[in-house]
Order: sequence, then structure tokens, then C-alpha cells
Amino acid sequence: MARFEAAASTAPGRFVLALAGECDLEGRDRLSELLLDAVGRADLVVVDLTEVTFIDSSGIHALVTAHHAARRAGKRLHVVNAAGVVATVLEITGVAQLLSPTPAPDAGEADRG
Amino acid sequence: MADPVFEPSVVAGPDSLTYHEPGDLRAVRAFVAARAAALGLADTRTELLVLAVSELATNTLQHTAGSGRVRVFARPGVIVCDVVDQGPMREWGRRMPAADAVGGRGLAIVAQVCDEVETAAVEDGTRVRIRLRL
Repeated sequence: MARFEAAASTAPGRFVLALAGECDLEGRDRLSELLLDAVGRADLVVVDLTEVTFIDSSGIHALVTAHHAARRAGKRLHVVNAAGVVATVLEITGVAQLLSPTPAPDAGEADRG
Repeated sequence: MADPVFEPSVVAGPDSLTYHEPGDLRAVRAFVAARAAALGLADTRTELLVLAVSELATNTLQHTAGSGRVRVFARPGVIVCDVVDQGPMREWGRRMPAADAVGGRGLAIVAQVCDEVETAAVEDGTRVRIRLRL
């Protein structure tokens, strides 16, 4: 059975997908389906990671795949509220910045060297 | 013979656990977390070890046809974790893929969060050994 839960809600101009649990290889395909479905529903998808206790490269794979789908459609996908080791994974992979709701002020610096 | 009441994949020896499929990854993480805590690794360090082992086990399940085995033990000042499978000799030192790359991050994450990583050919397969200082 699925190790993570997803709850959807909408607000004007955005679709919010609140995830909970563990996002690993077992749930990767289902997570991808949920995210791609969300991208089809609004110009801005906000993925709330407040209740996510674990994510690894499999979950990152699903997020980045959905990010590309959103960009191709002229849309955006953001992640918010990552904490603990989930935030660590997003930071060390650069995905925290890629999917941040606010553009990084020093993106040019980060690209240097 | 194993007691049929138990799933073979979640029967643990005192310090090792065998995994076979993606549905076992959660049990692998729980096993590593419990072992590391019992051996005295701090909570935030344990989370990194669990992450690294989950990536290695995922690598087994995605890139080999078989299963793998994880073992966690302590040496002075360090927690050591061995992941043995039938996969190739893993190479280290590759950079983290670009943020918008779809895949290829697993081993880079392992290298990033562990103090030491090494691969060796052993009698029963390929062993990735990772270490986190206590």
C-alpha cells in the first residue's frame, strides 16, 4: 500500500497538493501521476511538504519531472514547508532553489566556479 | 525454515536485513534508524545515514536484477553500514546532477551525506561501505 498520502485543495489561480509520509521508490510512480495531474489543473501547483517525513532521489525525480511538465505548459510548480532531512535533500540537490516560490537573490553567485 | 508468519524480507538478523523490492525500503529505513540509534548515533546524523542507505537500496532495486543486504555496526568513533548486492562497482566523486536533471542523484546524495564511501568486490557480491562519525 501507499506510504504517503496526498490531499488536494484549490485557491484562485493555484492547486495545492499537500503530501504526507514517505516519498520513495515504492510511491514514485503514484506521486508522479498525482503531480502531473495537478499540473493539468492550474497554472501554479504548490506542493506542501509539511507532513513529509522522508524523501530521496525517487521523490526528487517525481518533483523534477512534474516541474518540466509545468514549464512546457507555461506553468509553475513550487515546493513549500520542507523541514528536517527533507529540506536537507532539497538543498543538497539544488531542487530547493529550483522549485522555490521566491527566486534566489544570489543565483548568479551560486553558478560561479 | 523461517516462520511463515513473517515476511522473509523483514526478518532481521541481529545486525543485518535483506531487501527484495521497493515495498521493503521502509523496513530498511526503520531497521537502519533503530540500529544507528542503539549504537549511539545522534538523531540528525541517523537521518542522514537512513537517507544514504535508502538511496543505496533503491540503487540495487533499480539497477540490478536481485536483492541486497544491509548491515549496520559500530567501530570506535564511527557507525559503519555495508550494503551488499550483485550490482557493479559503484563509482564515487561524480558531481551532483544539475537541479533540473530528472535523475542520476542517488549515489551523489550518498557521497554528500556520508563521511566516507567506498566500494569493494566481496565474496557474495559488491559491497558499498559507508561511514558516519559518531
